[in-house]
Amino acid sequence: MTRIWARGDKIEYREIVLTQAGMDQEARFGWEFLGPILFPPGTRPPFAAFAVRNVHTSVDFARQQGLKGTIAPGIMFVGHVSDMLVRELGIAWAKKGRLSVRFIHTAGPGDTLYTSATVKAVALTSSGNRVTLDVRMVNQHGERVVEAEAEAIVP
Amino acid sequence: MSEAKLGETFPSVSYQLEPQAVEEYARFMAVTRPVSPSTNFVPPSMLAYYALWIASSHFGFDTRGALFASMDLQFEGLASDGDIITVQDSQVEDVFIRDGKRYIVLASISVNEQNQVLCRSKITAVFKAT
Repeated sequence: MTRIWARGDKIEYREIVLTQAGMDQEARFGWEFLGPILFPPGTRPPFAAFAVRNVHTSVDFARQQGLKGTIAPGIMFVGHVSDMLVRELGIAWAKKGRLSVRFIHTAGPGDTLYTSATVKAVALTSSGNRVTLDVRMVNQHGERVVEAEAEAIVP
Repeated sequence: MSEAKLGETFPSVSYQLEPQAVEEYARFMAVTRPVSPSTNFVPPSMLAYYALWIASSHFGFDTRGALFASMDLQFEGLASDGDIITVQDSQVEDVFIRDGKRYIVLASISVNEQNQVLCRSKITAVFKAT
């Protein structure tokens, strides 16, 4: 069934609760799967050494950098927003979509993030409807964490 | 990297989308897998994830207060399990100072083994003023 898109339509997506364990998982994944290709042979530090100099995994190091504590990697927000777009705009977005994300405010363990989108524009093209979404992610205090604009041509 | 110059280029980096990596990525990011019930295409954000880590490596995993300010992604094709992806044409596209902070925009293109463009990315990092 073809979805009818209309300017002003709202989309609410599931919330996420940030945890240090989740951020540690992200760091370990990157270290494990990307580390071998990004560090020259013989230079990849052990994970523990990598983690203590990382604002996502070390409270002490984050504070040395002037932060209140660890902060979640922005890419986790991109992954979450992207997932919403796949679910809402479908594979058309994954194939030919656009996403522009601005990281406004940091977020860390204990924060709950709420993601929503508003249809900003719908324009008929020869390939389908070009749907533009304004995407917003806010924390539990209503502070903007991410602002984004996404676009895809959907059937 | 915070001293990067406009037009500076970086070597290509290749990686394989190992099925185990795709599954783990989907699990810890809690993203839809598979993207479509009839396909095994990887979550598109995984290309962005790898592009960001590769950009970080070009920044020397800079820990002197560097943060990412924005990310622009244009997807042009789907990646599948097992694909070998190359992040190429990495270039400093813009360098500017605003509010005492130094911004660096790094553009890259992710292609598959057939040299088909899958994702164009622009990543803006912001560094404390030095």
